[in-house]
Formats: sequence, structure tokens, C-alpha cells
Amino acid sequence: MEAKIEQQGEKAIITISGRLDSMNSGDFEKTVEPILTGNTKDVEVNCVNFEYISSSGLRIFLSILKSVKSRGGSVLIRDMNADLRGIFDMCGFSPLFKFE
Amino acid sequence: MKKFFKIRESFAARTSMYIIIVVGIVFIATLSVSFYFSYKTVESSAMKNAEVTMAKTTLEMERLLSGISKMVDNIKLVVEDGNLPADTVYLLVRQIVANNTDIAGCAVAFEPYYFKDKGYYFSPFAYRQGDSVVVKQLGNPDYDYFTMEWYQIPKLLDKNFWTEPYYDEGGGESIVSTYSTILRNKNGEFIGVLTADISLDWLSTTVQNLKPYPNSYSFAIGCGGTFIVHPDKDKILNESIFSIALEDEDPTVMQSLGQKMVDGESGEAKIVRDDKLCYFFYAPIEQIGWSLAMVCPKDDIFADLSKMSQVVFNVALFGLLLILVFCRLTMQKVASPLKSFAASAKKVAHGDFNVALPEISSKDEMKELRDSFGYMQKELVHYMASLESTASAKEKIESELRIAHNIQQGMIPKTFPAFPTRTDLDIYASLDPAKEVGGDLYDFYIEGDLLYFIIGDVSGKGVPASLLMAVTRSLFRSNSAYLKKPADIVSSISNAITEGNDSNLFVTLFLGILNLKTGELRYCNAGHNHPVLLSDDTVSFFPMKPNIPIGLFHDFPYEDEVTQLANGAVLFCYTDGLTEAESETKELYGDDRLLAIMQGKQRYSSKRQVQVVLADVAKHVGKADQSDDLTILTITSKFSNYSEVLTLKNEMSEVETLKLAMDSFFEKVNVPPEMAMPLQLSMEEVIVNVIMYAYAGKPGTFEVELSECASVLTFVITDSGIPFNPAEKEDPDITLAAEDRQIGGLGVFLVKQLMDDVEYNRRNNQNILTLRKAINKK
Repeated sequence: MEAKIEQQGEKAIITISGRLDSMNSGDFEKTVEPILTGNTKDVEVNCVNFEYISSSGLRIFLSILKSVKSRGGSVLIRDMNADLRGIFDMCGFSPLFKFE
Repeated sequence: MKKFFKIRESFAARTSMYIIIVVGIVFIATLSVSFYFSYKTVESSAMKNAEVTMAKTTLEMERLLSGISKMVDNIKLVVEDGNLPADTVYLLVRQIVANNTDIAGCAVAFEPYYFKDKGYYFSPFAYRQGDSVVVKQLGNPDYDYFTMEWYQIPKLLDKNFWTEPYYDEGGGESIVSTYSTILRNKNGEFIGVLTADISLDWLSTTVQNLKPYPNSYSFAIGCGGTFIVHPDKDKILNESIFSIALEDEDPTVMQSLGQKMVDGESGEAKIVRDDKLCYFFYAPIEQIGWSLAMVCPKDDIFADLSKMSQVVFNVALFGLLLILVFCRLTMQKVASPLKSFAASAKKVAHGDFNVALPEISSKDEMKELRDSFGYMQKELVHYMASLESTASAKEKIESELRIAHNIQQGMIPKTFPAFPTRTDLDIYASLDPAKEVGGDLYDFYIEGDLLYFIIGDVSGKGVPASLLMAVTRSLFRSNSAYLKKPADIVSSISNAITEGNDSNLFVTLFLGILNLKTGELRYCNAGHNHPVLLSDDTVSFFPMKPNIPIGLFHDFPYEDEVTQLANGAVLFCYTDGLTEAESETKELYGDDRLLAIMQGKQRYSSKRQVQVVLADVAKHVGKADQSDDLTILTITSKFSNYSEVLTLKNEMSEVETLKLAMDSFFEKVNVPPEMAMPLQLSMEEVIVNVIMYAYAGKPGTFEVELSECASVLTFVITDSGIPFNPAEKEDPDITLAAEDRQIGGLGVFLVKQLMDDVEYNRRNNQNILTLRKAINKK
């Protein structure tokens, strides 16, 4: 898993690739900590090479969503593959996030 | 007193009240009828009384008046005799007045100069003044009697005449009415009149005597309706019946009555005088053309009647009160044992059957009730005693049946998975007797690589069937231990059962020996239902010879059959309690419905197949009673399979170890790449749970078995940590908005969503979690 975060004022762009599993979800959580604690309103997640997510990763996605929603913002997920999108659907996440 | 009138609660008060109401109604009806007839009688007698009185009075007056007129008519002959000296006339009139107390005054009035020496006026007049009689000459220029009514009218009409009453001014100085009779000489010429006055005071007295009731009064009117006699003296000669009629609200009533009186009619009427209803009687005094009337207030007429009614009413009321008190007290006395009975009944209801009953000395219904009550007590004691013994006997039987049930259930293998270490077999069974014990049976065991199994159904149900079931099962175990052909085992069991089968019970059997390494199935059928075979997406009844049930004939030639089961094929055996399960409308579950529900279920675990079918049967049966024992035995043979076993530590880094192991396993069993992600995700979720929670922070290990058979992947995770059943974990609500969503709880939920089947078992202090997923091979 590789993840980086790019802050553009009130907007943050996360780029994530590879497998987000129980082993590395702690790393990802640290990476996105500025979004959880800062004043970022809108988040964009770039998922071009994002292959795998387990419940620990889904939990972080939900935390990001909750914190930006509390500031009136939203989370946009870009280029997520169909398999992962299926997992998001299964968890009832699809109506909560925006997808492009 | 308050208690006395508690109508609703007291039988006595209520009954008394009903009696009083009925008696009261009878009283009122009787009194009303009696009053009505009394009223009519009083009314008619009052009428008659009034008529008689009136008639008597008028007759009296007529008699008096005619007496006067006759007397005058007789005396006139003396005067008409021309030889009567003029002065003798004075003596004559004095004598007439003196001799007739009815006559107030008497005069003889002559024509002018009848006696030459007496001049123009000559009219000797005698009248009563106190007790003496005064005589005077009446005529003079101030009292020109020739113009007077009493002189002029008889002369003009040439007939005798009664005048209307008038005030005799210059004469008797009182109100009088005068009778004038014509005097003639020998030649029949008019020479004057002889008169007699009657005083109206006298008439008044007579009329006022007409007083049959205290407030009644009478009056008389003259020809023109003028009052001649009236209790109110001011009305006399000043008012007429017509003038007082004008004071009434409706003058026509009095006017028409006045007219009738003036016309000389007689009769009666009802009028209102001084706001009181009065009876009005009237009759003429024909001789002088007057009319007499009597007014009687109705209240007066019926005074006695109303007084009597009042007394009768009071007596009746008192009588009713007396009846009420009497009834109430009598009823109370009669009903008092009922209260004791009620109290006794309550005690009996609480189980005190020997409660004392009230003593009844009378020999009536109350005594009968007491005897019946006593009898009931005795019978209850008896009945309760017999009920108790029946109940205890029943309980004993029930408890024995419960024990029998437990023993029977203990005879059959009931622990599943039955062979947790074997990846080449998935077997599951269920036996559900209709009563405590039943005649269905199944059994299985493994010897080497051979699975011996049997399913059977003893004819009948209950205890007799259960005994034979136990025998059959024992015979299966003992015979299969040394006989290796299914037909031999069946024949041996059959011969043993047939011997001494006096009850003619029989058993249908399906017995098989499955080679778990090759899938070869040797079997023998003895009249049992065709099992369902699920293989390669087809669902059909398993073909076999029917033969006959065991226990019927000695040495029946049962035959062996052999077939090769496909890898992963399912043999679903059952008893007829399944296909013949009855719904509330007595419809059978049926073969077709069984085949339909099994469709597409070959990749289910055996346990799940049984659960699905039993749930469908339960739906069909609804609230109807279970009609027969219901047994299912389902076997999935997985002789050709691949499996790997990993032992992992409870460290997070093992997630990666498992991932790599699964990647290579997937490659070996040809799992399509698009299916890898969900399978890895599921397994990660499961082992992360074990790593983090199973050993409560202490180091530990756990096993993961990955296997594949007939395109079904089975993952078994076994740990010896604290008990945890993820299959029971409640699902998170995924319809909530982001703000309300729980952060955790998604892992197990995803596993249940992604896998076909999640099964948890706790055995030997181990958590055994089995995940299954059917795959579509490349």
C-alpha cells in the first residue's frame, strides 16, 4: 500500500494504491490524520491502482467521511475498480460517498 | 337503612321493588276506574238533584203566583158587582192584604169618574207596613195610575197581566211585581183593574233557598233578561244577563244561555265563572215569563268525591309501604342462606371441599339447593382424588416417555460435524419424531475408508415402532460388523426381525456402503423411498430396485446394487414423513415440491440443505400437527479434493502469510482471479478477529485448512481461544446516514455477505468456523 496526501487549502487529495489491509491500515490512518484533525472540507481520493480493502480500511474511509461531513464537506472517490466498488456497495457506503 | 335499599346488589330488595311496582300499578288502575265511575255517578246525581230542585222551586213559585192570580180573579167578581159602595172597596183591599201574607199590596183602580162622587182618580190601595196594613187612595195628579204599566197594558191588551218588577214609588215604596186583572161591568165594558203586588224580597228569599252546595247561587231574570233576583242586590233591575255577559272573555256563551232563558227553555251547561268551572242549570217560570238559573261550582259538586279520593289514595300509599317492608323482610329471611352458599362456594373454589353449609330447616327449594351443594362437595372430593391419581399416572407415563425419547435420541449419532477431520465427507442428519418416541431411524459410522449408513422407517408410530427401531439399529451395527455386502446385512436384519414378528410390523430400509476414496456406492433398498441425488446441476430421484420392506418374509432375496457417485454429488435420503407431511388443508408436501426446493442446493453444506428443506416443510405444515416421524440423512461425497493446512500465530504479520498461501492455493485449484479478492477479504477478517481477540493478548496458534472439492471451496479456521460465534453477531444497519453509522462491525458482516455459508461449531474447547464458497472454474 502506498498513500500520499496533498493539501490544497480546504481541499485534500489522497492518492492510494495497492492493498489496504489490517497490517497497513495503521499507516494509512497516520497518513490521513491531518484530514481527521484539521479543517479540511472536501476530500478527493484517487484510487487508480487501489486493489484491495478490508474492514479496517473501510473504517478509515468512514472516519474521513464523518469528519469532513461535520464541517459540511464531502468525499469524492475517483477511478475505483469495480470489485472495490462492489465492497463499498455491500457496506451501504455508496450513497454516502461521491464517485467519479 | 342504606343497606335496605341497595337494589342492585340485593335479591330481596329487587324482588320487593318489582312486587311494589306491580301492586302499585294494580292499585292505580283500580282507583282510576273507581274514580271514573264515581265521578260519573256524582255528576249525574248532581244534575238530577239540580233538576229536581229547580223543578220544585219553579213549581212552588208557579203555585204561589197562580194562587195569587186565582184569588184576585175570584175577588174581582165582588168588585164587578155594580152595587158595591165605593168606600167598601177600602175594606176589601185591606182584607185581601190582611188575609194573604203572600200579597204585599192590593189595589182596585177604576176608570175616571166611575164613582161620580169620587172624582177623576179613585183607587183604594192597601199595603203592608211592618205588621200592620195601611190603606190609602192611590190616584192623584202626581200618581197618574192610568199611565202606569200595571193599568195601561191589561187595558190595552184586554187581558190579565203580570208586570215586570218595578219600584212602586208613591205606592208601596218597594220593589214589586203586580198582577192586574180586568174589571168589567155587566155590559162587559172595562171599568178598571184589580191588582195584587208581590214583594220581590219574598221572591228573593225563595230563590236564595235554592242552594244545594255551599258556593252555589241562583238568580232569576225577567222577560228582557233583567235580573229580578240576584245575590248581588245592586244588579237587580240595574243589570241584565246580557250586560254581564259583556264582561266575560267570551260573551257569546252567556249571551246564548240568556237567549235560551228569555225564550223560556230549560237545560244545563258548563260555564266559567270567576275562573271556576261551574254547572249552570236554568228553567222558566212559565206563568210570568221569567227564568230561574242556578250556578254550582264543579269543585263543590265533587268536593266529597275528591275528599274521598284523597283518603283512598293515602290508605293505598300506606298499604304499599306496608307491603314493601313486609316483602323486603320476608325475602331477606328467605334469601339469607344464599349468602352463606356464596361464601361456601368461594371456599370450595379455593379447594376447601369440606366447608360447612348453612343449616336449612325448611323443606323447600333452599333445602334442595343445600342437598345438591352437599352432593357436589362429596363428588368433588371424589373427582379430585381420581383426577390426582390419573394425573400422577399420566405424569409417570410422560416421564417414562421422556426418558425413552432421550434413550432413542442417544442411539443415533447426533453430533455434527460427525467427522471433523475428514475433508472427503460432509454428512448431516435430523430425526424428528411425531410423538415422544418414533419408528424412524438412521445411523452411520466409518470403518477405514468405508461409510456404513442406514435410514429406515418402522410401520406405525409411538412406543411399538420405537422398540422395533431400536432393534433394527442394533442389528445394523452388529451385522455390518462382519457382513460386507449391503444385501447380506439387510437379509440378516430381515430374518432376525421376521422371526417372532407377531405384531406384523415391518420396516423400510435403505442401507449403503460408500467408499470415501473412490465414490463407489454399494447399496440395498428394502421398500424405502427413493433418495434425491444432486449431481452436476441435476436433481433427480436416485434409481434403485424397490424390493420389499424387512420383517415380512424369511429369506427374501434382497439384491445389491452398485453405482459410482460423482465427486461432490449429494445423496439426500429421507423417510415418508417428509413427502407426506400434511398441511392444515391435508395437502401432502409431495415429491415435486421436494425436487423443486433441492434445485441448485448441491453446493450447500449438508447441514444447510437439511435446514432449508425442514424450513420449507414447516412452512407447508403451518399450524397443523406433525402427522408422522420425519427423518433426513444427507451425504456429500468429496473423494477427489485438494486441501492444505496452515498453522498460524496470533500475530498481525500472519495476514500476509495467509494471503500468500491463499494465492498459491487459488492457483492450484483454478480459482478465477476476480474471485480472489472477496475470498481473501473474508479470510483476513476472520483471522484478524482470531489474532486480536481469541487469546486475550497472550501468544497462541490456530489452524487454517483450505480445501476444494467439486468446485466448492471450504475454509476451516480452528482456534482454541475464548468462545466466539461470529455467525450470531448482529449485522450493522447499512441504511443509516454517515453521522449515525457505527465505525466498526463491518468485518463479520462482509464475511457473511461474501461467502455462501458460514458455520460455527464449538468442540473440544475449540472454535471451528467453516466458510464455504462455490466457484466457477476457468
